[in-house]
Amino acid sequence: MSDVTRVLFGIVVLVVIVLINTVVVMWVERKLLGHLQSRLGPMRTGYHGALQPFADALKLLGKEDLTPAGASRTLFLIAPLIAFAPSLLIYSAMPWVEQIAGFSFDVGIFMLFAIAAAFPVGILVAGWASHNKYSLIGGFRSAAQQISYEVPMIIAAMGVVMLAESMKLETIVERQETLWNIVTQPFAFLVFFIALLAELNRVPFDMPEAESELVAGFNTEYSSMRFALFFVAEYMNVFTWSLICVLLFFGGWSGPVLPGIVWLLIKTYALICVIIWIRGTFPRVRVDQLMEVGWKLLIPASLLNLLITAAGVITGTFGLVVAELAAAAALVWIVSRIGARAGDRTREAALAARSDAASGGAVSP
Amino acid sequence: MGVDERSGVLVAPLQQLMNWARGHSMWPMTFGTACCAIEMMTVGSARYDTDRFGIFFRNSPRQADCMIVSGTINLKMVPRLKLLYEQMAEPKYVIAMGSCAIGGGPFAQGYNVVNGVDIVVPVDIYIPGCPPRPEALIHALLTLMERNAAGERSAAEAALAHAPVRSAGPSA
Amino acid sequence: MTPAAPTVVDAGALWGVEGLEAHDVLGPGGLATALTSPERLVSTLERLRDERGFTHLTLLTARECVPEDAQETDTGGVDLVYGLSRHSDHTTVIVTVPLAEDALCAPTISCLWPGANPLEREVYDLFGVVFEGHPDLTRIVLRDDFVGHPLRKSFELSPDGVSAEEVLAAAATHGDILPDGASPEGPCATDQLSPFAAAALPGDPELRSERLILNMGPQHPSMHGVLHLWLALDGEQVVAAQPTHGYLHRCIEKLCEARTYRACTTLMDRCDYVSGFQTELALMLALEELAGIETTPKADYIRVLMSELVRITSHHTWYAAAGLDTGALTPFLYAFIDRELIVDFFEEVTGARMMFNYLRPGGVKDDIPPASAARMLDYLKGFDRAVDEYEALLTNNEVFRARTRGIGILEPRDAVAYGVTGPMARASGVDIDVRRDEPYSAYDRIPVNVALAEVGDTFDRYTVRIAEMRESARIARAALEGMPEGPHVAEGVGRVIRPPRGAAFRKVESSRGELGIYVVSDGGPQPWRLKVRSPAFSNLHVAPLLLEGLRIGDVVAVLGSVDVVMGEIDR
Repeated sequence: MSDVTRVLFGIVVLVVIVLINTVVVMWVERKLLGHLQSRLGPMRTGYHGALQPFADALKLLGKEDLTPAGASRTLFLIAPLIAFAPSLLIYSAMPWVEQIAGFSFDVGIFMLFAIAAAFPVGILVAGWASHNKYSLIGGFRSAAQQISYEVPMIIAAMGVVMLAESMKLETIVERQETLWNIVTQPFAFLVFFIALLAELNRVPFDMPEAESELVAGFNTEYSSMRFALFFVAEYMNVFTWSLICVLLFFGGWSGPVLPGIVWLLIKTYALICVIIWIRGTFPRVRVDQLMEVGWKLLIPASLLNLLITAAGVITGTFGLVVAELAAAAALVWIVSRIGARAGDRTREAALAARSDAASGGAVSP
Repeated sequence: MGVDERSGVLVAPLQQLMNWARGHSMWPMTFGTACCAIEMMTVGSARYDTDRFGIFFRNSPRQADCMIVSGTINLKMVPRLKLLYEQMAEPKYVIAMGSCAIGGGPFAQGYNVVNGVDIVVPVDIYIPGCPPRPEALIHALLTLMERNAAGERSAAEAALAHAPVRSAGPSA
Repeated sequence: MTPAAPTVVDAGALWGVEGLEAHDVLGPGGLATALTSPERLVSTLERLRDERGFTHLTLLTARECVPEDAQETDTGGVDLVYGLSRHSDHTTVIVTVPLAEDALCAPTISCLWPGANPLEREVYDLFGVVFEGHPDLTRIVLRDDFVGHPLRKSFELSPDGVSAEEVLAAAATHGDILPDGASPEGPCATDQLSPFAAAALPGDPELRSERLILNMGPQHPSMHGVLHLWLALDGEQVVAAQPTHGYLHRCIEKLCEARTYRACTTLMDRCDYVSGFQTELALMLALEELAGIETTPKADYIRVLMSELVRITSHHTWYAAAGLDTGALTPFLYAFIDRELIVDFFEEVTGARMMFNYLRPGGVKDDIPPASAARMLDYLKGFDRAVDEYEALLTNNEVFRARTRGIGILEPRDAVAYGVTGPMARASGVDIDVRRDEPYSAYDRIPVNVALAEVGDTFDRYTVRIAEMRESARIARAALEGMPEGPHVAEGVGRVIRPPRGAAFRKVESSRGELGIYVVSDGGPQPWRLKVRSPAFSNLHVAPLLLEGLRIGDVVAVLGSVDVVMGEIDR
C-alpha cells in the first residue's frame, strides 16, 4: 500500500468513525434529554429510536434546497461548508494521525484551536448571507461569543501544556498516566469547560440559535442538506470537544483492563452526558451577561490559573492541587453569588426612586 | 416523484429508503394561533411525547415538513399563513387542526374569519374537534407518516400533478 | 342576588362632580351610572380621578344606542361607556357619553390614562368613533384596508361569513405593514410620526446608522400565539417597541349579539382559552345580575373550585412558557405533567379538556362526581410538593435569576395609569384582587390571601404567580372540603332568557387580572352588546414601557412574564 492510499484509507475510516459517533451523540441527546424530562424520547425508529438520526438525515436529504430571495447566493451556499469543514479538519490534529498519515504535529493543541477558530466564520457568513434579521443577529452573536470564549479556553489549556511541558497531545496524555490533569488542574478544567459550552453553542450559552428569541438563529433560512450540515457539524463539535477535553484533563485513553479506545469513548460519552444534563437544567443567559462572564470572569480566572500552575510547578503537586481546588471553589462561589444577587442593585434603585417620588406610603390604585 | 422506469433498479430501493425516512421523521412547524395551540403544546408534553415517533417541532418553516394550522385564521393572519407555507421546503404537508382551520368553526359567520385554510393552502389531513384531543393530533401525524411510508403524494404534489403544465413531461 | 330596584339619584350630588347629569340610575350591586356630554368628558373624568379617587380606568368601550332609549333621549348613534373604579370602597361608576349619529367624535382621554390609548383605538376600529387629539388613531385589530366598523348595528353579518374570493384577495396582499411613519388612513392623520416611528426612525446621526426594525411575530416561537411586536433595535438593544395585534380577532363580541345568552358561553370559553371557566363565570354573573337569577350555594362553591383549578392550569401554561422563553426546556414538561392531571378532572366533570361550556345561568351544568372530587382532593393535598419542584427548577437557578431580576420593572403608578391588573399589578405592589375586593360566588365565604411583591420586575411577577398557584390550590381545597349539599343549579331558569332592558358590568379575577363583562340588554333574548374587559389587553400595552432599553433576550422573558393570551386580547 502506497502512502497516499494509506492516508486516503485512513481518512475515510476516520470520517466514518466520526460520523457514526456524531449520530450516536444525536441519539444520546434525544434519549437522555427525554428521560431527564420524564418522557421517553425516540422509540419507534429502530431499537429505542436508534435509527432516528438516520431517518432525520435521510429525510432532510430528500427535501427541497431553498435559497431565500435577496440572499447573497454564493455565500449562502458555501456557508455550511465553511462551518462543516473545520469540524472534520480538526481531526487532522488529533493524536492518532501518526498511525494513519505517518506524521504528527508537535504543536497539536495549537492546531486544534487554530482550526476550530474557523467555525464561527461559517456561522457569521451564514447569518449575513441569509438576508434575514434573525439570522444576522444570530451570526453576530456567534462571532462575538466564540471569539471571546476562545481566549479563556486557550489560556486555560496552557496550564495543561505547562504541566506536560509539551503541546503535543500524545505527550499530554502520556504524562497523565499516573495522575489525571483533572486532579492537578480542576480550576483550569472549570474555566475550560464553561468556555467549551460557549464554543459549542450549548445551553446555557446557545445564543446564536436561541430558539425562543431568534426562531432558529443563524440557520433560520437553511433547509434540506445545508441545514443538515450545520446540524451535523454542531453535534460533531460536541463529540470532538468532549474528546479533546478528555485528552487534556481525563487522561485520554489511559485506563485499566479495557483497551484504550474503549476508555476514550467511555470518558467522552460521560462528558457528553454532563453537557446534555446541563441543557436539561439551565435557562439561557443573556448576550451581555455572556460577554461579561467571558471577559470579566473567565479571562482573569484563566490567567490566575497560569499563575497558580507556574507556582505549582515549583512547589510540587500537593500545593498545586490545594491551590487549584481553592481557586475552583472560589470561582463556583463567585458565580453563584452573582446569580443569587443578580439585579439586586437595580431593584433597590427602583424602590429608592419610588419612595423618593412618593415620599413614603403605598400606592393606592 | 415516481420511479424512473429506465433505471428502476437503482431508483426503486432509493425511493423505498426515502419513503422509510419520511415515514419515520416528521418535523412540524409550530404554527399555533389559538386554542388548539394549547393542545398542540400538550402533544409535546411528557404524557403524549411525540418525540417517540420522531415528531420534533421546529420553529423555522424552512426546516419543517408539515404545518399544523392549529387555530382560527383571520384576514389579517392569512397573508402570513400563505407566506409561511411558501417558505417551507418540498415535500410539505398541511394539517388543519380543529374546526376553525377546517371551516371557521364557531366563528364561521364572523366578518374577519377565514372559513377553512384549504381556501389558501392545500390540506393533507383534517382533524375535527374544538379543540381536537392530543391523541387526535398524534393520530393525524402518524397517518401522515404512514402515507409517506407508503409513498403517497402530498396534497400539494397531487394538485400539481393534475395541473396541465406539470403533466407534460419529456416522456409524455 | 336580586337586583336592587333602580333608584334615581342625582349623580352630580352623589359624586360631587359637576357635569354629571341627574338622569342617573344607581343600578344593582352599587354600580352607578352617570351621563355626561362630550364637551365635559375630560374635565368630568379628571375630577372623578383626582378629587373622588376613581383612579382605575376599568372599562372603555362603546355601545350602539338601544332603539327604545334613542326614542326617549332623541339621540341615536353611539354611547361611549367609561368605567372608573375606586380602590377605597371598590365602587365603580359608569359614565356614559351619548354621541349623535352625525357627530361620532369625542375628545381623547389618553392624556389622563395612557392606557386609554389602545382602548380608544379599539373603539375607533370597531365603532368608528373618532377621538380628537389621539396620538395614533389607527385600526388596532382589523386590517388597515377593512371597510366599515363591524360593531355598528348597520354592519350586518353575512350568514356564510367571509367569501373565498375575499380570503384569496386578502392572502394575496403583502402581510407586512411597516411602521414607517404617519398613520395610514386615520381620521386624525397629521404630519406627525406615530410615537413608535418617531422613536424608531432616527438613527445615530454621527454614525449615520439606522435602527434595525425587527418584526417579532405574529408567528414566532415565543409570541404566545400571534402577538406581533415591532422592535426598533440598536444592536441588541431595544430602542422602542410596539405591540400590534388582531391576528386572532374572531369577531366574538359581534357573534355574541346574534346568539342567545346561554349560547354565548361557547364563545366565552374560546375567548380566554387557557382559563375558560373564568370568562364563563363573568358572563354568568353579569347575566344573573341583569335577569335577577339566584344561584344555589353549591353552584357558588363549584364555580370557585373550577375558577381556581383553571387558574392553576393557566399558571402551569405560563410557567412552561416562562421556562421556554428564557431557554429552559424542562419546566414545560414538568408543569404539563401536573396540568394534565387537572385537565383530566375537568374532563371528568365537564366532558371537555378545554372548552367546558359548563356554567349555566343559576348554577353549573353537572354536579361533580364524588370519585373525581375525592381524587382531586388527594391531589391538591400534595400540590405544594409539585410547586416545590417547579421552584427547584427555576427560582434559585442562578441563570434564571440573572435573567429576570431587575429586568422590566413596572412602576406602580404606571400600572395604575395603564389599567394593569392581576398578578402583574400585584407584583408591582398594587394591592388589588377582585376575589377579595368585590367577592363574587363563594369568595365571600372562602378567604383569599393576596400574594404581593414589591418591585415589579420579571422575577417578582414570577414569584407572585408561583405563590398564586399555592393559594389557588388552597382555595380549591377549601371549596371542595366546604362544599354544601344541595342542587347544583337553580330551578326554573329557562333555556332562553330575556333580561329586562339595562346594562350590567361584572368583574372576576381571572388568571391574568380583572376580567369584566359588560352586557347591555334591549329586552331581547340576545345581548344587545357584550364587551369583554380584557386584562391581558391592558397588561400587554404597558409592555413598551418595560421593554425600552432591554435586549432581545429580555423581550421574550418580559413578555412571558406578562402572560398574554391573544384570544382574549383580540376577541
